[in-house]
Amino acid sequence: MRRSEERTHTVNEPQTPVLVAQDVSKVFASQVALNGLNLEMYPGQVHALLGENGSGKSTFIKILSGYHQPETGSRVTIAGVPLDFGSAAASAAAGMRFVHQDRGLVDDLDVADNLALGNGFRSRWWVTFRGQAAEARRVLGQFGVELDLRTKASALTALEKTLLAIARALHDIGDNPPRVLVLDEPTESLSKPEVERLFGAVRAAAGAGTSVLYVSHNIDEVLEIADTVSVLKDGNLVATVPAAEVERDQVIEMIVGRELEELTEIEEQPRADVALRVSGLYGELLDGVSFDVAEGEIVGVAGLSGAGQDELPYLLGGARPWDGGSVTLNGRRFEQLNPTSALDAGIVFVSSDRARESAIPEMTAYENITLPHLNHGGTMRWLSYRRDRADARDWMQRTDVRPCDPARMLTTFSGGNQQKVVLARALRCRPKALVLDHPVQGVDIGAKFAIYELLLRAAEDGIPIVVAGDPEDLVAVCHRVLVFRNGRIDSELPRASLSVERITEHCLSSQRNTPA
Amino acid sequence: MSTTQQAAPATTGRRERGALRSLEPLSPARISGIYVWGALILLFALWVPETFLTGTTFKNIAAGEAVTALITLGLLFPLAAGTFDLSIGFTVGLSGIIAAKLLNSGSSPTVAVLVALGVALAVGVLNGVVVVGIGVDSFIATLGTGSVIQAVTLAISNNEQIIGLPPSFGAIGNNEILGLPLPVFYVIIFAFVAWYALEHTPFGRYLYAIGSGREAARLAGIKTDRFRFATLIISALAAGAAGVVVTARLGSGSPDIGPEYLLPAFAAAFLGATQLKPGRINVWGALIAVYLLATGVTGLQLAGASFWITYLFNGLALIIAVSLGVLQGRLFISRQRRRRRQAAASAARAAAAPSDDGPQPPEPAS
Repeated sequence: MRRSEERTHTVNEPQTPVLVAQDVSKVFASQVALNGLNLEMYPGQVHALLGENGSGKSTFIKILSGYHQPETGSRVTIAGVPLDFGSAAASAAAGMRFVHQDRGLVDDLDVADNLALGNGFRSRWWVTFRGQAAEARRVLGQFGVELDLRTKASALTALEKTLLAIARALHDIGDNPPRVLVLDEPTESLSKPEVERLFGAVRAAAGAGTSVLYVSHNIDEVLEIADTVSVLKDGNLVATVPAAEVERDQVIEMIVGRELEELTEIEEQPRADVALRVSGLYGELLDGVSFDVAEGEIVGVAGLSGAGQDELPYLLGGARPWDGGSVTLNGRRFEQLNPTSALDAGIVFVSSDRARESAIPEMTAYENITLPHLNHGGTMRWLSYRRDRADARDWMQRTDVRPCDPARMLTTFSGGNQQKVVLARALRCRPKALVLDHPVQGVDIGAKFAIYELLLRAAEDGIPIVVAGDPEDLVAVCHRVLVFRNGRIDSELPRASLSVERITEHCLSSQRNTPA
Repeated sequence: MSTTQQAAPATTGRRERGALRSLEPLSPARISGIYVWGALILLFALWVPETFLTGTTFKNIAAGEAVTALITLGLLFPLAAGTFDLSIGFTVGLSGIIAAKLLNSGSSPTVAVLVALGVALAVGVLNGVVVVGIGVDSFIATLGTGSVIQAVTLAISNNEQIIGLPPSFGAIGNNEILGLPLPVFYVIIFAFVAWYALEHTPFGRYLYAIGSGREAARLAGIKTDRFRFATLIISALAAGAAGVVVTARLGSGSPDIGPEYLLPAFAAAFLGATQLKPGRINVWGALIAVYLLATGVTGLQLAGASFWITYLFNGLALIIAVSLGVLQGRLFISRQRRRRRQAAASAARAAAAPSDDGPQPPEPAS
């Protein structure tokens, strides 16, 4: 394989690990995010952490960075010294540096100032641009990066931002390189040659003795850059293996897990009449997408982030304006929708951002459920609390919200039950089409299946459904999955050939073929 | 929904919860304001009985604070929708001075009142255009429009009082029914209308939804812009009406009458939000707060406190009210966390019980 020649260092000679994690656990609400993770990282090595969304990768990083406090009994030592949890300062003092997914740059500041922010200014009293610039050039030079120091961060390309963030993270403890560098999805939105340049910087860092924790869900890239691969699944460590000793398919299998082989029984949909027709839809990411959804059909949309599938539900629900195209629902054609007109048309949209976009946490369950359809009879009519509560209770029973108490504040429900409340609200609107973005995100496994069940039942009632979600969820409910790439539909997987592996594979391969 | 009921563990029997529920309306967590108010009345009754416990004092508080109450009730609408209106005090001044000016130049009281309210409406539209139309943050926008309004007020009045208003106009603020001045009845009527609108119509529900989650409300199909625009008009109109009433009561128009109402109105609105329906701006809570603050200030003045006591008292009340709100929220969250931890623990126990044949992590694939 192509990666063999880089692996000259240290596979045989035993070394002392620089980072040892023992029994690291974290529980959110009633959900175990991380279950007794054990991990060792060695100096000069790139250790990749793989897993789906919600597998516990980001929870682990956030524990390391001091953002989350792990459960008692968890232990992390850096170079033999126990890490003080819950403090970003302690994590930094221990020699850990983080480049988060958002890069953490200040858009309005230029390159030199962004560098200085991470590391303090050269002089305490009199900050000169010249002094900063010399320092900045030296730092960037170490990583072979050439940037105009006066450029604002907002004007940098994705690669430049990432390199700047890495340079900033790496150089700031003077002559000692940081012990551990954590990179969270560093290749997101990078093209293939850019990824190669980034890998150069990562290898340089590892060559200087830094241990790199490389978090990603892109298997091909991970196998190219990493020495060791650890796979997480539902908060459990599935395996830690040397990257040279595994094949791509084995890794996919570990990521996906075995229990998913058993599919829910969904009958191949006899293609009835087309209920929802999307023609040539354009948005910020979508680039002319057309497809039909039959009555009672559940169509899943998948893709890597930025491929457009995540934007589609927002467009269909009228949450964001269209740049062109049309949608026809039961014969009525729409050239533009806003949330109100979408609802009037019968298209009900459920966002994945429950706290901000789909529910109102500081209101009670019944107020949330009745909100979109309150005003039959006018905006100023008398609202009967009793009738609203009875109505909401009825819907909460249908969606099995526990406890079935409509007068409770939404925040007092578990995440899964909050999501059921959101679905109760959507179903109460009597949708003619349902559009959902990651409807089971952040939901525990029990509620997950309950929500699958609700969607399947809604489809049986003839409602056409479009759902964006993780491959696992799409396999559970969809009659058909559309895989997106560069804002267009790249491939279509019928029910018969639907599996988590195939969806994942199509998503990944669609990226690899992307022209630079 | 009260905190006492939320605190009850899920296993508590129905009967126990019923008993708790029947005591709920009297719980100090909900109506601490009433108790504090009672305590204040008792305090001043013992301290300065000869001046405090008189019909005049009672009437002064009831009618004098009617103006504050009208402004506060109007302010509840934008606040419920999460929008600030800092221009209300200045609108009071503007509408008062316009009414006085018109009366002085011979207009009939009816015309004067209608024009004053019309100008207040224009202020509301201006606020709406800047806040909703252009999208300037309401706090900054109404701070700016307020200053502009004050400039207009000063220009119209030439910074002089306008005295000698006709008694037929004064009647609006001073006539009595059943021994109570008219403004008290304005407040009662407006309070019922505001209560109906805010707490028992889709309109009010939408405002609260917008206030606690604007994007979620928009995606639920609510025309958030339209409703926020409407609330700014309501608060401006209420301030305009209050300006007319205060001018009628004083019998003169004064360019600096308005701004002093800003702080008491906000203090009352936020203090009211800690009452009855903790965490939510509400009508009766705000009314309790208005009169609680007035009782405190009046009592202290009668007890011989200096003229600056009003500012001190109202300022402290605002800070305490908002602090209480924050603390209530924190208490609520910590309770919630505790409950969730318990739930998680019991779920974990339940999951651990049949763990022998529970899911095992798959073997490493290599």
